[in-house]
Amino acid sequence: MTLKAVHYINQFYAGIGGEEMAHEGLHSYNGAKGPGLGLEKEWDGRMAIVKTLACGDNFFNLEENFAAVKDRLLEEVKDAAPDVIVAGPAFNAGRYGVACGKFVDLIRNELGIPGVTAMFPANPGVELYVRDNYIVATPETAVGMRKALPSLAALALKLAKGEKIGTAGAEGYLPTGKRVNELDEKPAAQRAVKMLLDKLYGRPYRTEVPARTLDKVPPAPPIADPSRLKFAIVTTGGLVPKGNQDKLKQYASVTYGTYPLDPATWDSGHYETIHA
Amino acid sequence: MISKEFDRAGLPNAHINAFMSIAQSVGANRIVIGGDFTEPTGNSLLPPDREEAYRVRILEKALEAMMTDVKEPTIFNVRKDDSEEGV
Repeated sequence: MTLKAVHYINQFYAGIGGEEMAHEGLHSYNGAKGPGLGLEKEWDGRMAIVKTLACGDNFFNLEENFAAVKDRLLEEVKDAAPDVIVAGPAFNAGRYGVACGKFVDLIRNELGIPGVTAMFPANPGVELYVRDNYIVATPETAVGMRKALPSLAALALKLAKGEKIGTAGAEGYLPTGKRVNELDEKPAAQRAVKMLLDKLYGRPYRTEVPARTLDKVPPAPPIADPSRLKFAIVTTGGLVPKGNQDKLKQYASVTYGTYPLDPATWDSGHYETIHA
Repeated sequence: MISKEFDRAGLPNAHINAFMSIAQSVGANRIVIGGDFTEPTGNSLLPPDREEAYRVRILEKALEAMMTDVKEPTIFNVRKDDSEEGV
C-alpha cells in the first residue's frame, strides 16, 4: 500500500510567484508540486504526496494570519490523513524556514502526525523548532536541491513507516539536544580506552559527548556616569524569599524570580537558600 | 552565561566568582575573584568587622570593573583580608 504524505512549500516553489507574492494566503493542491515531485522520485512508488499546501512566507509568519488559517490547515491535513508531513526544503530562506518549522510543529502538536522539514543549519527556523522536530540539514541555497532531497525523502519515509529513528548523525537531521539512554554491548570503559588509543594513534574517532563551545560576547561599555546608578544583584546561589512561593527549581530551572531589596528583610527570617 | 547575556544587552555587569578556571573558560567579560565557593562575596571565618570591610572591597572591585573599559574577559582580584595589605 502506498504511503501518503502532505507537503508544505512556499509561494515560490508552488509556482505562484516570487517575493511579490509572499503575502499570498493558503493554497491547497492535489498531488505533488515543485520539489515534491523530486521527493516522489526518491520514494519510487513507496509513498506519494496526496496534497500540497502552499503559503506566502510573509502571510504565514504574521500571527493574525496564522491564527486565521490554522484551522483550515488542520482540516486540510486531517482530510488527507497522511502518514507523514514534509515541509521545504527551505535552505537558508529565513521566513520560509520558520514557516516550515511552524507547520511541522503545529501538526505534530495538534494531530500527532510525524513530520520532517529541511533547511540550512543557520536558518532561524532551526533555533526555533529543532528541539522538538526533525530538521534535515541542507546546503545553503536551492542550488543544493539535489543534495537535500535524498535525506529528507529517506527520513520522511522512515517516519511514515513508523520505524525507529536513530541518532542525528545516522539519520541526517540536526541534533535536537535530546539524550536517549542506550545499551551498548561494550562497557563504557572499553569504549573510552579504544577512543583514547585511536586518538593517540591518529586514527579517526568519534566523541560520544561533544564538548559545548562557548561564544565570546563583546563587553558592554563601562558605566559612564557613576553619580546616578541603579543596581541589580543576580545570584544563582538559590537565594529566595522564605517559603519559595514562586517555586524556583533547585536545578535546571526554567524560571527566575525578581524580588525588591529591602534592607529591613536581610536576614534568615525572610530569606533562605534552596541551592542543593 | 548570564553575565554575557547582560553584555549582549549592553548592561555593564561584573561576575563575582570563586574559581579562576571556570571564569576564564566561560569567558564572562568582567570577572571579580572574591571569596571561596560557598561565599564568593565574603569570608565568614573573619571577625565581623574585618569581614564587612572585605565584603565592601569585593563590591568596590566589582564597581571598579564595571567602570573599566575592557576588550575581552578580564580578571579583577580582591585582597583576601587585611593581612595581605600591600600584596
